Amino acid sequence: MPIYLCGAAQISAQQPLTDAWLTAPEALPESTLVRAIDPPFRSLLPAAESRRMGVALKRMAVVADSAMAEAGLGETDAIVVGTGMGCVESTEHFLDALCRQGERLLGPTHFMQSTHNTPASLLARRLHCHGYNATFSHQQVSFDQALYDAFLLMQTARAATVLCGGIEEVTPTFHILLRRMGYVGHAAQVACSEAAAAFVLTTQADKVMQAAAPRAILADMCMGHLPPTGDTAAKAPVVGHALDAMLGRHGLTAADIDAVIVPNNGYAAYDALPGSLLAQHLPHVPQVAYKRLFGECFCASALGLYMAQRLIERGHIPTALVSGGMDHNMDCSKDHGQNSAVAARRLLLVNHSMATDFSLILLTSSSHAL
Amino acid sequence: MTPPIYITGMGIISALGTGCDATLRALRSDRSGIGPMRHLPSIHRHLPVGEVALTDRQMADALGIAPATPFTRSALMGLMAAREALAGAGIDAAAQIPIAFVSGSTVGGMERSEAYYLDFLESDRHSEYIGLHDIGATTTLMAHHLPGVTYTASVSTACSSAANALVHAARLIEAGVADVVLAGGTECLTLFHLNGFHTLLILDEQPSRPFAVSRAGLNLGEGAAYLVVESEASMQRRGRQPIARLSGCGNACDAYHQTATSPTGEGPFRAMQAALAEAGLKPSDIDYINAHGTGTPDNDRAEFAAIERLFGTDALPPFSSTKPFTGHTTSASGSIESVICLLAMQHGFIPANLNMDVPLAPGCHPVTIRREGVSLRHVMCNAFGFGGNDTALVFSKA
Repeated sequence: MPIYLCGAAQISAQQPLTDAWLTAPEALPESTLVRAIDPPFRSLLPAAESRRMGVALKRMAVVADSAMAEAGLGETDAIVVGTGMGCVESTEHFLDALCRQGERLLGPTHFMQSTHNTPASLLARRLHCHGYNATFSHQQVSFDQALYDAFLLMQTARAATVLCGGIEEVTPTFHILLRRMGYVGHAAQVACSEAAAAFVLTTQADKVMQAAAPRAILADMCMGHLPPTGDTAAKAPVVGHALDAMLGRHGLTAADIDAVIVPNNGYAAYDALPGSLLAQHLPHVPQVAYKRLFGECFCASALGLYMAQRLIERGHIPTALVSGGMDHNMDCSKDHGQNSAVAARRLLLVNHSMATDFSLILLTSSSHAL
Repeated sequence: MTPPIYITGMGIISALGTGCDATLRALRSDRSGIGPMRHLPSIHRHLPVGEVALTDRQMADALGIAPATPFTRSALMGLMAAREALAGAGIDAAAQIPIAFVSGSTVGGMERSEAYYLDFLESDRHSEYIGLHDIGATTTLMAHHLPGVTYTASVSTACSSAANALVHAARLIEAGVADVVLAGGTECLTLFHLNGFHTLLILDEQPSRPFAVSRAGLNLGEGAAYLVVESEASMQRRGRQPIARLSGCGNACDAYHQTATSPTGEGPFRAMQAALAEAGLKPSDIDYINAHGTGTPDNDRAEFAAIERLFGTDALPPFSSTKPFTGHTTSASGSIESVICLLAMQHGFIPANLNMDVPLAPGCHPVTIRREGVSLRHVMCNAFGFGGNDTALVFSKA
């Protein structure tokens, strides 16, 4: 039973709620924090509702509305969200007050919004969805775990339609901590940024296939944990084994994959794992490094999926997006059509979190279904 | 009909003590673990809590973790419980069994972050703890001290986190992508949580009184519990005996308010109903409900309304809240109370709902005096969270 991606929306360092990144991408300075570009929330959310929400919640609400509208299915059976840190601004507010002013002067508002499940809960209230609702929080595979949970729900026929979101807010204070962790801020590393994305997944083929353009299909997904010891060279074969198994399940070989959507961010220690994996297993397959456009954050992989979905719907990948690794020149306006471009019928998405957890996603086009 | 999912191991640590035996002894002697604060450096000393007696150092020593290793209390408690669960299931490093590890938490490494936050921002002191703050870091830290972990996931649905970790575990097995899943949750007491709940005016200065008309809030607790969830094929291959079946999971959203429960308990009702449906059971099949029963005015009223609606006023199964024993262990409560349910099933007793005075409503009669010598074929365990994340699990005799 194919799982179709039939609605999507993003708010990120690129222009919000559009695909302007394809033709007129924002240039992101390296090694710094670039906050997301917010749409005019005033015109997108009721004022009374908006006042009570922090910025992460506003973004989550707006991308979910937009994805649901694009899908046109009316309702969803389940809601699953991934977030590494939840509503950071609220958490920081409460923590800062606790640490600086002590335990006597605290108010409840920021605490109430500090739990990681606040975005998923908000979506349930806004959509009046009493169905399955869950939140996953696991560093750079937070969104992947949410998507995997949605994938399992649909595979076990527990849900026919799932709204899946990824939300990551990065405040200047949190950015300081991420730099101290050594997660961002390295020379030549992409900017640290923010992510809000939502996707509607459905197995209701009859409602999806009325669309003129091809749809992206979540054909398969695999996640795994890597041992703490050993260098990248020792870990890549574990991921490689999972990759071979996944391609094998569908009778595919490396030659069948049009491109790999890679999580590379320009920091050599991070890029080593996908680099080693792909050199061994998919050496001649074009790569697309989405974080040059969207920056790095715990939920950046949601934007990788967003990009992959849009590329499959277009049917090809502009040459400016394709690189062997990190290409700084991403001016897609020079893309004059499909002749000069790479096809986008089957895409592999690779992601990992600090070389301890990985995810592999196989997206196919409904016009070239497996 | 989906193939059965079994529980083949369990481990627990809470204010009742370390391990299943200590927990069982406390439950069967009606001895609460609630008391004055010993470890948490809060100014709110008048608030009773359910602390784990062991210090971080004592747990690290017991686990063989070198004293200088950066660690968090949630990860230490989690490992204490996880290792007991694996040992009970006959799994050690030599077994070389691939394990999926699914853990629920909300505070993660917050107890270190709230101690070092200003250092994090202003100096490089204690920076090794920044990377241990988030929820995934607690899971990863634990995974690195457990044998054979080939998959991890971190669930964070507030006070139903551990219960939803068990739901995710069931899906992994059902989808055929895992044979053995170690699932549950861990949560230590923090100033962040204590003060957060305090600002919401839902902490009782007295021992909590779930389902009593005089109830005035909850007592926070801490702890961890993990269950080994296993496919039938794997259990048979390994020649193990099941503790019970995880026969049904229900996850629903109240979709009402971020922190309050709807008066009718819509989310709790749907979660319990879905768990029964998945288990293929009628309401009358349930022999005991371990209620979420926090002791807050809101929760208990809504939960009882939902139980009455689902089971019928005249056919309520025996139910009790065991939070007066452990305190509300928040993200860990779903797995801690699952272990309590399984102990009750194994040993044929129903733990008491302590501290009851006058019931909150006519017909609301939780089990206030422990029942012994009962046969529990099917038990339900409720865990409800902020955000209306409501989950019910049904365990059945194997």
